[in-house]
Amino acid sequence: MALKDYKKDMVRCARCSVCKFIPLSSIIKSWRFAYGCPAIARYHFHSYSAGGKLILALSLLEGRITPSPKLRDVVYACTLCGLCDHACKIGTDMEVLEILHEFRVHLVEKGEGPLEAHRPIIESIKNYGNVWMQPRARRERWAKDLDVKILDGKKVKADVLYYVGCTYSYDPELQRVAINTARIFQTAGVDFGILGRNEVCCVSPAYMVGVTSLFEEVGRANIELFNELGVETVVTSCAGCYSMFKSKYPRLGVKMNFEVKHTVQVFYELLQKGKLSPARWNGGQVTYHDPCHLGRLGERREPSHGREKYVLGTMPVKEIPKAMGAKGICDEPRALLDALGAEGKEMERRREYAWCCGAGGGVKTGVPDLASFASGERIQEAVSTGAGVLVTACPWCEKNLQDAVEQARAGLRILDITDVITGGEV
Amino acid sequence: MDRNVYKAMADVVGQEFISDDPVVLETYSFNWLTEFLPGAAPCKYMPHRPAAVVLPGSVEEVQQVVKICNRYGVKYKALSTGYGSHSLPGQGNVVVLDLRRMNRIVEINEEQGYAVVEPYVTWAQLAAEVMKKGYFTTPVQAGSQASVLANVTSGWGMNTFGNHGGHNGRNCLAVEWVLPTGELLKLGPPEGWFSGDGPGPSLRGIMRGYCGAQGALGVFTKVGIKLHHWPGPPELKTRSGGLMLYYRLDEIPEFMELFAPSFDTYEALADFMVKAGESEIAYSLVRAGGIAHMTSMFGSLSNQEIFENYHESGFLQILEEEVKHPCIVLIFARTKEEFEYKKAVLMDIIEETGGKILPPFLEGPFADLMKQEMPVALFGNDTHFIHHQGGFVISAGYMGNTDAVVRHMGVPAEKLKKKYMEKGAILFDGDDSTYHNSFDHGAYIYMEMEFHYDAALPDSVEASRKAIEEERTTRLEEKLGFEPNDIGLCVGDASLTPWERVKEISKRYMNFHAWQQRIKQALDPENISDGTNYGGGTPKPGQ
Ligand SMILES: Cc1cc2nc3c(=O)[nH]c(=O)nc-3n(C[C@H](O)[C@H](O)[C@@H](O)COP(=O)(O)OP(=O)(O)OC[C@H]3O[C@@H](n4cnc5c(N)ncnc54)[C@H](O)[C@@H]3O)c2cc1C
Ligand code: SF4
Ligand code: SF4
Repeated sequence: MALKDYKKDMVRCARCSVCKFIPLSSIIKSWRFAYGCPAIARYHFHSYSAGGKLILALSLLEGRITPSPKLRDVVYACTLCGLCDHACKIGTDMEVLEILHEFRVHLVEKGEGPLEAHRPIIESIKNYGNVWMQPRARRERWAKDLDVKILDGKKVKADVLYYVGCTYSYDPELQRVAINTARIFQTAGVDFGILGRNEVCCVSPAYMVGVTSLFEEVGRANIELFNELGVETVVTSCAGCYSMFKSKYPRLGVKMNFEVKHTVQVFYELLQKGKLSPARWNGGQVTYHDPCHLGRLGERREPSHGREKYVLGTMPVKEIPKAMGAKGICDEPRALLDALGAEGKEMERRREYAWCCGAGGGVKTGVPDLASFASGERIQEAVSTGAGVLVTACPWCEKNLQDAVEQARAGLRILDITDVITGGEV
Repeated sequence: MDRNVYKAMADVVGQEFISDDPVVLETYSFNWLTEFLPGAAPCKYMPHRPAAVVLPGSVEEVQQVVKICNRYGVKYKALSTGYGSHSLPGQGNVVVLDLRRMNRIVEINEEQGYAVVEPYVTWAQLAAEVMKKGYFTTPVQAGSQASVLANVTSGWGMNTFGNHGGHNGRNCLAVEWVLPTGELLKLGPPEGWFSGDGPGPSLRGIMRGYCGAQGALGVFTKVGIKLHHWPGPPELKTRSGGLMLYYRLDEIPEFMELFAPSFDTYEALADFMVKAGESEIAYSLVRAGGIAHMTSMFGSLSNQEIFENYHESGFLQILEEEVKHPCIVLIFARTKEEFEYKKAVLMDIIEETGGKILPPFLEGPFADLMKQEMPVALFGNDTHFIHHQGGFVISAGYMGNTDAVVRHMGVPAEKLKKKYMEKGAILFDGDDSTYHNSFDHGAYIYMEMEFHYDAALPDSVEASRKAIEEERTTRLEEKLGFEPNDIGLCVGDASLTPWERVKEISKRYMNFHAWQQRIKQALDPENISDGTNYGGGTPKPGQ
């Protein structure tokens, strides 16, 4: 893997600005919600757009610029949400998102990344196995009043590993989602267990900011651990963990003897089998926010590393077909909300062209100004639908959107999909 | 950049909205077609970086920045969305005014059918809002992510809906204009924004001319643009999962249908295009070359699929046998009667001119593509696919009599292109990659020849450049050159600067460059607004 593998794609950028907007193809429904990229919408200079970052990557490789604090700021002022990648791929085969990520890896390798604010998180993953600098033993506390199996792969086994994730495990505001999930599973008779204090971070925060060495070390260990448990499925409530397991872990080249699912998929299956009898929703109109890592990045993606052949003279054909981002998990949460009787009000930017909440790609920690701009924008869009409740399925989205609601004093409730299934907060 | 100038500008726009950091400047040095400019660095970089980039947020800020430029003798260049080398400074020490923050739709006047917009309103945004009121726009093929104002006031004006909506130079009803000196001028009626004569009285030639002044005559901060009727619903329903653009129509509007009649000869095609234009039945009347060119641009979503679906499968061969010289006609009506009438007229003209519509064996995905996806491409104006292969360039464009352009220009173009395709230096997309776009119900037509190459392959870039140079010479020799449109794009002979190119062309067109120079001198006595492409003159690299 190297940034230079993608040099041809960088040269091919037409500087057309398509990556700044949601797809043009009659998807844009208003002046107000036409933009797609949070970074350029906030900072305006072309450098901050995906196209701009491709030019900068090329300029760096060509020796036209050298690493600088400004370059680092621009590269990390990006949520790696992938909207640009989807928009660009409608007309090209360029691997925009891979380049944005490789740019970070390149800076880290040169000692120029990540941002200072990211370093404590990296250290925390190394030292505590979680991003929150919390003792390992506290990871299972949320489950203390629930009769949940702690799997060891020998004596205690189950069909399903419920991988909770750092944020749902430790954050007092969000632990309810793990509790909701365990209760839903128990009621539906799912044979599941957790790893308890042995659960280790999925390592997404390190991967996102370009610290590949840690991703490789922890990612491999996690795959081996899951394999040893002998489970059929690893299920997680966190969109970020899901996308890591689904799309990034396979790049490590270690065989994964389990299937990966997000909880919304399992809830949907349970509903279809008649094993989920949720409370009817009577909390008013809801709008669903697609987390990037569940929606457009919830689709398995394999990078080509620039490998391509030419046909018809000069037509480059990538060795690996492009992922457009529409095979992620967008239908299931909507079907669930529908089945619960929740009247759904769609936002204009949705599914594979949803606007990012602003938390991803190390932005919540590293560039809080961008995080709050993006979430503020999303809240305004949600409010414009007339819904009083925004439902999502990702801890980072929930936290960041909640912060924006408080900041804007908007009359909007932010809930996780499990809150709706269980009929309210636990 | 001189710190005094920088500080003066920062005081106007705020520190957040000005930068001369190389990390910012670098991204205003790279663009589409830059690789063809004299002195360009490899990989699409301009020979010069701007001195600074400024992001004004209002007309007052634009005026103040322009006045500072005049005070300190610093050149400036405005861009709206900045798609193409013509939007970047053509010389050193130029301040770029990126107008991104001026992004409001100021007014949509339903009664008089116009909209007033600032520079960073895109065609897609405007279309979405005016469709709700029964109107539509005339988006430029560069794509609906491009600026409405830039096209209408400052750069060209050809568009896919020109058959009923006209050239965008004519859709300009009034402007708010910061002159090169910083003074503010409003052209058009004293009240409101609708002047039938455009920025009258008859000042259009001075304000924009045919190709626009491309940033050489100050900064346009608002434009009143004519809107055109929209027979469809307030919003188009689309869904994902298409062969071509990824999005397709979920519900096809009731009285809309797209046809792709085909003709055996250019003569028959020309007959058809003239008659179809004159009959005033088509909402859109365009061509995208032969079937090999059409499929290689938008036949499928990825290059691999294009190759597999059309070439490896042999489907293209079958198509080519049936479809020699196709064109695209969009019929769109308000009522069933109007719809049936227009279709009947279309069928009569096809029959009369010896054409045929696609045979029944083309049902299936290809037919869906035409029915559900092509309209999305047209209305959404999602023309991003022209970069599928990694590079797209056009020969000099021609604007002329429909019959003459279609009848005479295809054959020499075919001969010329073949040789480069056979060498594998440019994309093998069939002999006919001429694009045509009818205006004012066939009153005249625009044509350009498209070459696809890979910008990442220097040999391929060079081959395209040579092909275009040869194409221009051939047309001159065969006296086929109608009105050239390569002002500002400057591909072909790499030894000439854009202004030298203008002067070359001008020799054949009554020395129009002398008029450009006079206008430029009158409005911009200190030559402060970057005149690379218009009336100014660019130093050679190194000068
Ligand atoms: C692939 C491609 C296809 C194209 N096809 C067509 C076509 O079919 N028909 C057509 O007409 N054009 C076409 N163009 C040319 C041109 O880019 C468009 O006409 C232009 O409208 C695009 O808008 P923009 O916002 O990118 O303009 P910009 O690139 O921002 O500006 C275009 C020109 O206008 C000047 N300018 C922009 N804003 C202002 C302002 N506010 N005040 C003063 N000067 C200003 C700029 O300096 C520049 O010279 C095409 C361009 C590309 C890249
Ligand atoms: S990254 Fe893609 S969409 Fe963005 S400017 Fe470049 S070519 Fe256009
Ligand atoms: S990943 Fe998201 S934030 Fe980053 S450049 Fe792309 S659209 Fe913008």
